[in-house]
Amino acid sequence: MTDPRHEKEQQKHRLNEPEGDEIDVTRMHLGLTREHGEPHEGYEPMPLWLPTLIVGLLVWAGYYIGRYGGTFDANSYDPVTIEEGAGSGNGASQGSPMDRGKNVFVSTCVSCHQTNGEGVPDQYPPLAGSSVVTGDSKKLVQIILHGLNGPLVIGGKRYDGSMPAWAGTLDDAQVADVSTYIRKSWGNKGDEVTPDQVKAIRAATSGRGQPWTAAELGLPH
Amino acid sequence: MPQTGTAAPTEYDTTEVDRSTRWPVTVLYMSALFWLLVGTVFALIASIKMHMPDFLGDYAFLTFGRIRSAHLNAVIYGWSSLGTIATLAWLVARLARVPLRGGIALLATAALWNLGVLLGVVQIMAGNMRGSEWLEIPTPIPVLFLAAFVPVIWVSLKTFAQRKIQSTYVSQWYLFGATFWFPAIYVVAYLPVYQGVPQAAMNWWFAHNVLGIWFTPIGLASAYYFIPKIVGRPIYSYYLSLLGFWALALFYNWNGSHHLVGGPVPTWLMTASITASVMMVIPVAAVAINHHMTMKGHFSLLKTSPTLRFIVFGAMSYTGVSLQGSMQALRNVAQITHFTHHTVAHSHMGMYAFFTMTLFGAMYYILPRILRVEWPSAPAIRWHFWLTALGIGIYVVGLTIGGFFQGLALNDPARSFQSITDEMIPYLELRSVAGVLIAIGHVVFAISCVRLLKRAREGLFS
Repeated sequence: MTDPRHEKEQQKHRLNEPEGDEIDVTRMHLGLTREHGEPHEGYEPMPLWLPTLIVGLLVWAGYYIGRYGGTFDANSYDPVTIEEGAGSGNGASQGSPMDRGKNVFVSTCVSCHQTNGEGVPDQYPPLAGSSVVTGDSKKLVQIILHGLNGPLVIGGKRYDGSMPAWAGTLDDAQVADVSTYIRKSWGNKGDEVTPDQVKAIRAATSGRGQPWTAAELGLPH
Repeated sequence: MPQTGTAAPTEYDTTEVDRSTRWPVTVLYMSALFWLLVGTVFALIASIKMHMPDFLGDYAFLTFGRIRSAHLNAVIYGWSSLGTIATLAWLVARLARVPLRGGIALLATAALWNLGVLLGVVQIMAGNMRGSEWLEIPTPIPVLFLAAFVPVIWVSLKTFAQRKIQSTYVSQWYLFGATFWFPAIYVVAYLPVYQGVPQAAMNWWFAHNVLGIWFTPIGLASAYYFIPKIVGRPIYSYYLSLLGFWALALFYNWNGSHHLVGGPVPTWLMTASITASVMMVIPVAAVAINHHMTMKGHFSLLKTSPTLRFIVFGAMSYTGVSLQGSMQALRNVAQITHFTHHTVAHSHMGMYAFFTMTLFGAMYYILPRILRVEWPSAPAIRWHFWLTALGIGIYVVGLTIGGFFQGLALNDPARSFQSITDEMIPYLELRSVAGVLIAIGHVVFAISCVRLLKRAREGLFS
């Protein structure tokens, strides 16, 4: 650097810095006048644990795709919650109907109807205090199996949305458990629904290819 | 600086090569720096609003929904992308060992790209944005970015064609990857054919790929270049380089859909994405071993070389953030961490602790060489490093832990949403503190850059 102003400035830095400081401007920029050659590659072999790890990962990948691949069906959806503990992904068979029903509810229904069963104002109707939930269990199961489309009045408020069908995702026991759970939670006082009842309703409505409307089920709309 | 190994001195005249990149790279870097400062201000405003909701609440253009997106776009398309193009241009010339061909065309790139970011950010703040994250900038502004990208492709191909070396170094593979992948994903993302679920799937495919096959390749190309360059020994293993590059190319672009875990997306798509996310362990491990074994025994150089310090910080963060990402993609982990501050910490670890720190490192090496002056102040560089490193450290650790608790609480039906929100406030305040540290670091860096430019101007015209 020939400019005297720069020299002065550099001197100033030297004065400001303690002797033997590990970073020194001139040393740091040795590269300006001398730098190492452009990088190239060595040919060391990769450590043996890496290919081992890769084989392990590939085996795991095969398992995971097989286990959770949903047979590559466009209509196969996640059950949302993979329960803690292996092998319980498709619904625990232990516990009371209320416990099992709660598991199904948390993994399937909660995103719209919320954990407190209050739904979302103007969007998703509440289950708590709903006569549709605590009333005729046949209508409730029909709605869970095949969904519900269009206007519906719950608690004096009108909703116009659509609930998907769960017949392909939930088995009879799961539908029964979740029905029982929502009929007995949040102050609701309904009776239990059994898997046999669900089985009968599923069989009776098996030809149903589209959601119900409130009018079809005789519900207020 | 200790003498290291058998490295030959640079076997060609770097002066001409560096001079050929002087104008485009300087202009691109300085405009990138401008957007970094703008993006930092936006970030601070957004962060403060998270614990003081009324802060600047009277101005529509400063409301959270707009300022957050403005921050994102300013740092992604402004700072990171412009910095990426600059680094790419310099590395292409250095790796080919010839002056940049048609480098002046990159000035047009800088002009068009900056115009695009400016218009985009203004539109976002005016409330005119698209509903997809990372794709908020409304049409037809993206046309500017695509037009700006044409010279980038042209210049890198033209320069590469004139190369004076037989073998193509690993950094160049990544550079070409980024050069051709980015315009492809950008065009695909803006095709007007997506609705409903496919739109969400495309959105996250794109957003994750901007990081994965646009910024990451440039970050890795820089690390692959600067680590052996400064240490003065060859990169450890060609085989690891190969494995790392192709495994990244194979797996990364499947990753995006893991953002939709729990959403109404077919199971197979989610499973494919999660599997690919976990498979990212392969390229990450390969790159980490390669870099670590090259550095081994030379870690004392971190004290003397600011470039190496930033780059190694970035490279280590890359390993950390990638392994964390593989974990987070798993359904039963996502069940807790998804839609919490945990994810925010993760994305900043990727974009800041890895990419931005690496970019700082590259700038500390490249700018004095192309301008032929030295950095004015070593303490300023040290302050810059420690402020940003400490800042992002506090940021990531705080929100990672806070987000984890938040996720657990959100999954507990007994907890009210309000109580969880209240519980998060200390973590969010900590984030603002971290943000202030980072912001001061950026100001220090900006002052260094301005002083460097002043020196260069005096040098050039005297």
